[in-house]
Amino acid sequence: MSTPERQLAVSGVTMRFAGLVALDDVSLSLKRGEVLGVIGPNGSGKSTLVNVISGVLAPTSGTVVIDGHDVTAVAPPIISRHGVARSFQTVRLFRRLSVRDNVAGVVRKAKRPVDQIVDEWLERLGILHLADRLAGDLAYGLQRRVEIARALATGPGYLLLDEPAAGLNDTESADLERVIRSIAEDRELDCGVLIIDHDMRLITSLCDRLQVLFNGKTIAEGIPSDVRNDPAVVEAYLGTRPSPAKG
Amino acid sequence: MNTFSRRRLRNAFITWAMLATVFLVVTLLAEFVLDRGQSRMATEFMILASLVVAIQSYVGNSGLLSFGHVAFFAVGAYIAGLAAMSPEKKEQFLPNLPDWVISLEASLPLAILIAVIGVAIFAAFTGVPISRMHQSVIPMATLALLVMTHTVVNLWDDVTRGTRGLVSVPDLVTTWTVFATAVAITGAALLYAASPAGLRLQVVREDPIAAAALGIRVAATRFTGWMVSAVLMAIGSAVWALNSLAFGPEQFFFAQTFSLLAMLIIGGTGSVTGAIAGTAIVSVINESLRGLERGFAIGPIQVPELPGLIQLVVALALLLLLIWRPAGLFGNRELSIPRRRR
Repeated sequence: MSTPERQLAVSGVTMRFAGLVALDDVSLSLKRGEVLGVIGPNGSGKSTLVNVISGVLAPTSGTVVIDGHDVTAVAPPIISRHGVARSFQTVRLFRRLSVRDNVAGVVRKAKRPVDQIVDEWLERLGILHLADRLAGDLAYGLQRRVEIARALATGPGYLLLDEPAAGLNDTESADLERVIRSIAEDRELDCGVLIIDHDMRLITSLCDRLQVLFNGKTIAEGIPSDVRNDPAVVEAYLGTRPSPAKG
Repeated sequence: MNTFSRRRLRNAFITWAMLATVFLVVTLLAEFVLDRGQSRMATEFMILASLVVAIQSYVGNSGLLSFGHVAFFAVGAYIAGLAAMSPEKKEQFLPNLPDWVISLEASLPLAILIAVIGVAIFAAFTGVPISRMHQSVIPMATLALLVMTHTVVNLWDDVTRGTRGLVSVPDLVTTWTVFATAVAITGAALLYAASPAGLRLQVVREDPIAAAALGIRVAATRFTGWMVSAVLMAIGSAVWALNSLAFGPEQFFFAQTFSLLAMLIIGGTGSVTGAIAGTAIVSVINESLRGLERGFAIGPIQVPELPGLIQLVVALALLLLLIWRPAGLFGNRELSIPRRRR
């Protein structure tokens, strides 16, 4: 038996809600160590795509395959065990638990003592000094970091971040960018990152590849500089304004 | 074992040691200082505290209010009572029991064991569907469980003697066995809360959707907590039964449920310490008002009997607390030593 290709592959996914087509024949692939950005205006189907991949929604048609395993419409905990971790557009922390317990609570297997593993993730996200604080008491930008630390503690092969920069100021956003970059480049983690956003600036500087959704359809994909100049993208996504972003 | 957090375990052991000390003091007072009536109160306090802590291990960690634990209480008490009653008494009062039940005359440990097995089976059957329900309907389902159990206990004459209740249950319990029970149940509840399974239940309590997305099986996690809690409840119920000597179905219904949950909520559902503190507070209210309930005289004025006064005051205390301190007196905090700076 040959080793299945190590990637997250979405093929021909269509998602219909009572007459509304949220996703129309969307395909994408995410490899380990890669940062893929999915952008599109509000209502273009980005969050629906994350929900389909993570098992929250069962697609009307199409498949989701993780490292060769078909996980279409499989329950979220099982998808997580196949190595997909996600964050939420509206941060969903375990608010009345400490930052530490937020991360410790999702660690499944541990070759080393769990306290040590948790501290390392908190250190990496720069929030170790907040370990004993209640997660719900933290500022929004810090909560985003806890959410990423928590997702990483599940040991994912693929990390899905749903608008990770929403509500962050420029400094926080730049810090976040560094963290995400370091995750993708970490050979030991061997993790691919899928970022959903409508913020062109973060995403073009961070991503290896971009895919643009509009009304549930992929209208462009490729390296950021090409995609940004794609006439269809400029037309559909950026409107007629000049590109606001600097790479 | 790597998934067990040393930090959480250490804190649990510290709290356990401190709460065990409290129980030890109560026991020593009961044995050597207090008069007979007060000593009986102290024993009852420790038994009730065990029951409230058992309820806390589910309600506190899952965030789901359960009215069904009094159903476990009933099942555990009747099983232990029937197992321990002498064959002669069973022949006399419950002649229609199967022969093997009549011939059984269990010691305290055996009666507890049988109660645990019985309640565990009962909890497993009811816990599977209940754990799969949406959290908004689980409390209602547990209420249905309470009503069903009460109806069965009330009407199953051949086994429970119906409304007449069980009598001649032997007294197999000493203050020291009650002490050991309270310490064991408190320790088990603290260790469960500190374990990975207990933390997962708290995680599910906070956000079931995020928990599921991060790999936690919500129903299985809730079921584990339900079972742990049921087993602890069974132990406490058995000791309660063998200390009470006679009891009937009315002791396992709404009034009892309200009383136990009031203890839990007043102390704070989030912690074992709170459960015990709440039990102490409500016990004190009970005892201090018991005399007044029977009627009393202020000088020449005779105040008549005030039935229901205790329940009224406890309900009022609960209401006031929910207004001013909705998380209970202790909230999520456990008794512990002040934190050292590292």
